[in-house]
Amino acid sequence: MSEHVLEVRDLRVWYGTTRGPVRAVDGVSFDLDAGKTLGLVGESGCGKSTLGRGILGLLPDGAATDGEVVYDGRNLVGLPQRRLRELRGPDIGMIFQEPMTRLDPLMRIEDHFSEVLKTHEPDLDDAQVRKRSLEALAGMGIPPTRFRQYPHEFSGGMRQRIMIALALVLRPKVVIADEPTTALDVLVEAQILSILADLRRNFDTALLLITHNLGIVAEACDRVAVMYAGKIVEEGRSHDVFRTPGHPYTRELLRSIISLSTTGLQYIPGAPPDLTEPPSGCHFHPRCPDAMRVCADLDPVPRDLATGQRVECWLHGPEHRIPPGGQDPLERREIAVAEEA
Amino acid sequence: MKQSASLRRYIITRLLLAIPMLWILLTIVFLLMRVAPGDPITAALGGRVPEEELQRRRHEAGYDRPLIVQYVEYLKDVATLNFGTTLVDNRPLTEVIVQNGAATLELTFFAMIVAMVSGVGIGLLAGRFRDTPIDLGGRLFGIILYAAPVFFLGFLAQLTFGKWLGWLPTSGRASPIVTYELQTHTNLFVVDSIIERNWSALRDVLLHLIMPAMVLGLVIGGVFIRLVRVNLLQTMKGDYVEAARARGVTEKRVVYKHAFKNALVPVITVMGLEFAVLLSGAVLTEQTFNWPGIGSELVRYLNNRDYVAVQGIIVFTGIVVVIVSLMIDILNAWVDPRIRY
Amino acid sequence: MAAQVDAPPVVIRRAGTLRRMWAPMREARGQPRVIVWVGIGITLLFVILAIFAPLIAPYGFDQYRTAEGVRFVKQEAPSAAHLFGTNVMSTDVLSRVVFGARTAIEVVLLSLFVSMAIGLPLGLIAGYRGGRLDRVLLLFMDALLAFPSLLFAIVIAFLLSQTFDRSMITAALAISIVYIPQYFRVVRNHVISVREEPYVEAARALGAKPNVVMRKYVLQNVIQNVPIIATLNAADAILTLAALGFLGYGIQPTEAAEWGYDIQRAISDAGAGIWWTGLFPGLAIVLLVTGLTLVGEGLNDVLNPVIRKRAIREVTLPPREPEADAEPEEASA
Repeated sequence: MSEHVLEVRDLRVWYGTTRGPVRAVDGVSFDLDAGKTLGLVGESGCGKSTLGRGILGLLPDGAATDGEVVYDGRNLVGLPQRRLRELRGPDIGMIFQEPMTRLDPLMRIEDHFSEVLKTHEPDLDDAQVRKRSLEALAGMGIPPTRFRQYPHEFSGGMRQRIMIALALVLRPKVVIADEPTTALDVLVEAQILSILADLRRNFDTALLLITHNLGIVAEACDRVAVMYAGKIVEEGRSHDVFRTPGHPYTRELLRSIISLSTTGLQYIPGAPPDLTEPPSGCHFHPRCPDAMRVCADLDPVPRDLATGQRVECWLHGPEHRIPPGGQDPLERREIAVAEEA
Repeated sequence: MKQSASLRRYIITRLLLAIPMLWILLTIVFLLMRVAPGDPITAALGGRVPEEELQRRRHEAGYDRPLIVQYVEYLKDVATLNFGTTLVDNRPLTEVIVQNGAATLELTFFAMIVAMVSGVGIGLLAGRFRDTPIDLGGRLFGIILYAAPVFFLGFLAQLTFGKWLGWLPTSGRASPIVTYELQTHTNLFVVDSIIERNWSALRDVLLHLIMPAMVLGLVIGGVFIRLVRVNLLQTMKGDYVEAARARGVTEKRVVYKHAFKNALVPVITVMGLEFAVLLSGAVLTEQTFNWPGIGSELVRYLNNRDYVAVQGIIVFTGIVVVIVSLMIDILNAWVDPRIRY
Repeated sequence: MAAQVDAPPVVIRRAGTLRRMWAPMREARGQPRVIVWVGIGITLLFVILAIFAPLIAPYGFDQYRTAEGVRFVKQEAPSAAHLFGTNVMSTDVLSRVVFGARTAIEVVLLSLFVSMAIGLPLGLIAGYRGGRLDRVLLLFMDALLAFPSLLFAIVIAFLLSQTFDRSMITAALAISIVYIPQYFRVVRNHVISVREEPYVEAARALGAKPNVVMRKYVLQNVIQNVPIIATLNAADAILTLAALGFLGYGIQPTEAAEWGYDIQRAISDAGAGIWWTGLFPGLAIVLLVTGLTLVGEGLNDVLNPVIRKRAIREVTLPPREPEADAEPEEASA
């Protein structure tokens, strides 16, 4: 197997609040490979956005990070901001969710590009800057005549394409896309997704695509990681995960997708847990239809399945770690109606 | 080019909107002046001038005609910039406006410079270094400046710099000799002394300007401190700021080019709003420092019940306010490309 | 799904309105809280001075001689008998400062009441109804707002003085008229922005009557901002009152003591180096306005969620447990 471009090992990002630390990312591991896309799926509040920012070191004050994010032989966690800044852009790029507000309203598109190019490659002269910017924009379908316009003169979809062009003009090896199409309509979404697909092919970029939309993942991602309450509960090739989900949460998620053939609404009862005090053992056990006794007591062990997926679930053993009686179904009180979100 | 066309359209639309506002102001002034019992002539000169003379003057001025006719005459006069003549000392009001208006203009101009420099400067510092002693000191300074009436600051200034330290003169625009000697071209003493190359006169005039302009300017500037600080705090959290950081733009540039610039945009609008406050403050400053501006004339004529003069001065002030707010809006639109109709 | 009911379902109660409004105060830390309390303290001090003026002030506000008829020394420096000295009219400066507090608070309260009584309902109606009424009122109020408020107040105070005898009333009315457009504009803008919020639209879609929508959503939201506006306007009104007094169009000296008027008398004293006649009334103005502004600003900081700084606690991550190697699955479960 080829060397991973980015390796994340046991990453933890906790925020300090008056109520106690919020464990937004609670021990997450995965790899990114050149030319491949990893989809990171989860409900709102599961910590996926924090994870994306955590990799880049773009967290607010009061966040503590721990673990390893290995890029180019170095651990990015704990690196001084100055070093991180040099990496942001030319090595690791980021595309954000809300394109409407991501461009400085007082600066022309031209100025945005010259700023980012001159910061990282100060030896470029104006003509080269212009050439590279226009190339990047052309790749996104933005004509050169609009180069000197202001952000507010573009639609949401176009602004997102400009953001992608800005991220790509430096040819980063890794791109983190944090819900890039959530704020856009379906047609534009399709365009953006095809652009991102081209990324893999043409530039060999490793893409981390963060989304809550399983459809996008099925379509655009080679591998998928399912996140719940700060942990990755399942990870593997998209094809395998969708066909034979190993984790009950994944399975329930897939069942709740609405499609043209849906006749009744399926949903997972309950709500995602409070991350200041996540449930003991497996975080999903209060809502899991297959929960066993051991699930409430012990953290599940990561397991490699025969299909190649990695799951964190006691249903897959290892049996010798489960105490006697642990495999009995979990007794729980009825989830009160008032507790549902 | 496309952009200047829309700017031009904005200017024209704005101009058209200014007219109804001006009309409303003029009408309000007209009605206010007629609210007082009796007519202006009698009020001002009653008892000082024989009865037939009063009658004659009233007829001449048109106060015995129906209100509607008076109103139309009044609007016509304003349109032709005919402000009339004062009752008590027979000065054409245009003379009052030019001479005393120039004095007020000089004062307010320099006060505005002081306000901008001090207000914006301290506001930016306070926002940049949030929650440090600099921030606290800046904010406290701002609040105290707002809370201190301009005449109180003037009193303290006169006490300290005039009496105790003896550095600065405490009244008037210039010493009597200079006032007598200086040729009037524009009635702006600073400009006139430069035209004349009369450097000792310039020095004298500037010395007289320092206290009133500083006092008025600081008081106005206090408002900007708060405004700029809050704006800066908001822009620093802005989405485009985060996106710029994600592209590896240096922190310095992020703060100065993106956050600061965007934070200052609303300042222009507030400048326009503060203009009215500036005029109010000018009246008080003129009284405190014996500055022969249009504000002191207003007070003097009001005390003498010279309604014609008062009306003329107020109408003139109204026109100036509308014009200035129009200019500020246009300046705002020029700076912020999002503002167009 | 195993489901045995062994504990009664948890009931969640929503905290009452007042508690919810107060919650941000308790959450915010550091500066905003201190600021509000300092401001409240200062304001309270002046309110006490105002209420108990006759008991606190050593002399009457226009008293120029002792009970025995001995005239006070004119412009006497601060001494044991006159802690703040006397002014050019031989009256005691300290007493005038104390009584001035009473004047200021009385006049400002009165004018606040009048402007709110007129401005708030007008703003609510204009904002909610919209249409022509709104446009006309808006144009009118904007024109008033554009004009220098002090000049406006001077003219009105002057005109009203022809009709009314008591300068307290003319000053209060002049000040109220000046602030009506401000209340109108703020309330109207707020109503409009709330009116467009999705939750109001949702309520209407569910069939809620306009009255109910106004009262429950719009009013409640707007009401939260009124204390801030009122406090800040009160601060401004005190300055306007003092300015009117300084120019001679405010409270007449025979009626009551007023700080602005005293400072005007003190300006000529500055040339002679007499500092106490102007310093103390001036400081009183600065203190009271600062106090009110701190309360208003502090409340704004606390209630404005965008820049409110949530308390940050240091987090120390517990040490990582040695990583368990992912074990391959032997047989399917």
